[in-house]
Amino acid sequence: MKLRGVIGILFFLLILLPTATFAHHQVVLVTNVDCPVNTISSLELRKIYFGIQVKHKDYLMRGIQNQTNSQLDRIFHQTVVAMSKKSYQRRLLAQSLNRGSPSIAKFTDSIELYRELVKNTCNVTYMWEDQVRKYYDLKIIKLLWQKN
Amino acid sequence: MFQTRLQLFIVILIVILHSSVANAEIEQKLLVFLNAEGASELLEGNEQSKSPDGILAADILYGVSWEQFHFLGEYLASNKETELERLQLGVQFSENKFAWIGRFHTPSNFWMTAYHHGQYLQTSISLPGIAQFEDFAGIIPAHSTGLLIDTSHVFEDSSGINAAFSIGTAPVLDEGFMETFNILNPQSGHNLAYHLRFSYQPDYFDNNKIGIIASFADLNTEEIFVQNTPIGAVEQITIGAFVDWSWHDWRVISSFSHIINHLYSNELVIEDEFTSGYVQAEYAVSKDWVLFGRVEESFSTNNSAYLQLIPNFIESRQMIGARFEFLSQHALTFEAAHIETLNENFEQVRIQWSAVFP
Repeated sequence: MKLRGVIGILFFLLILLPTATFAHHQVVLVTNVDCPVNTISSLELRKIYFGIQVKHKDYLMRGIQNQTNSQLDRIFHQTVVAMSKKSYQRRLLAQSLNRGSPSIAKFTDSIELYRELVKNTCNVTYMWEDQVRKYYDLKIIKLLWQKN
Repeated sequence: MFQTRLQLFIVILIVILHSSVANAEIEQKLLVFLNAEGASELLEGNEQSKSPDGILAADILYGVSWEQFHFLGEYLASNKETELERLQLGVQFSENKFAWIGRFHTPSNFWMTAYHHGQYLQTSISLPGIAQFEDFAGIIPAHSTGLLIDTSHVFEDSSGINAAFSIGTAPVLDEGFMETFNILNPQSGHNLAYHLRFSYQPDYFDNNKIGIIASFADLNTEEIFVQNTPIGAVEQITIGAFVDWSWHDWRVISSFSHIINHLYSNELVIEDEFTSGYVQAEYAVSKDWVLFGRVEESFSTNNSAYLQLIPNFIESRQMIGARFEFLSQHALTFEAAHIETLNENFEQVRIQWSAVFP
């Protein structure tokens, strides 16, 4: 009887799992709450992720790639840089070769991503909107993608 | 000996800097481009082929950025040569405006400023003759030491313009090649050269661009002769255009320059002018496979006194090739070409592995 009960609970959780997976509806751009920037244009965002220096009130804005989730990564390439992963890598590589510019930092671990994000006042990255609530010291400055 | 030690010192310094700089405000970049290549040539009208040749090369690039200040060093080490290719100190005035001093690639050489020595980034193995390095029968200066201003502007619609201007040392013409100013072994005798590039990009973040290039170089000489006439100096003016355009799976890269030379001897001035350039077409068969071909041609080069000074310059080439990318940032490339220089015509086959780390 006990075993049946456990199986029943597991089955119920299994049914819930797909719902949890597709619960993300929006991808947003976030920065630290201390950053004086409250909104950012699409052009500025592209500049940041192509390694061009963008400054707001003397604060340098640095982009960080969030590679903790493949769907997020796909949305980033489609909506932010508007090119394939391979083309984007080559573009950044050519820029580094040309000017010795540092690459855009990327993280596959969410804790490391968060640590890097809070390292500088106006570092920016993107994440699922419902994940931002976990961090009291982050704020949303742009909606990047929305599920239809 | 001093020069070798100095070069070794710089490489060690770069490694130490890279491992020790931990300040969060200082950003750095280390890239290592590797390539290994085999080539075989068959002279026209001769059943004997030349001995197969091989190249092993590492191009090490190190960049440091601290606030608006930048440093960039590029060192090439191969079984053919070792050379400090670039050594630049830069200041960034605003978003996309840089001033550099040091040794750099000349902005009027479109191919060079797109790929530098990063073999992995260029689709083909070979460089077009017009874009060649000075010590490999290049006829237009590819390096200069001095001041480089590089500025871009991105408009609200994402289109962009770029302008680059440099003033610095010109190479010295030696027998068969040009000798660049060596920053590690400074010697007098180098006159000035001016280079200019202006380009337009419909989308600044994309690769498509079209532009014009121009240069003036005052080339000093090292006891060279044209038809037994000693040449004391050469003034060279170039003006040209370039395009790099992708459309669906196709890409076209092309550049043509008109080159005017004045060769000065004690008694007379020899004038010549000719046009040289290339069209390279690439077709992406799949994500990993690219087929490509390049046609290079030079016009009005008959009896060019200037080209007699650099007889190994590739005047004409018809080339086809294929490139396969594998793993992450590795490529295998194959090329077959018919090549014509002032002295000889030959067929050439090349195969290359190239990669970039990290």
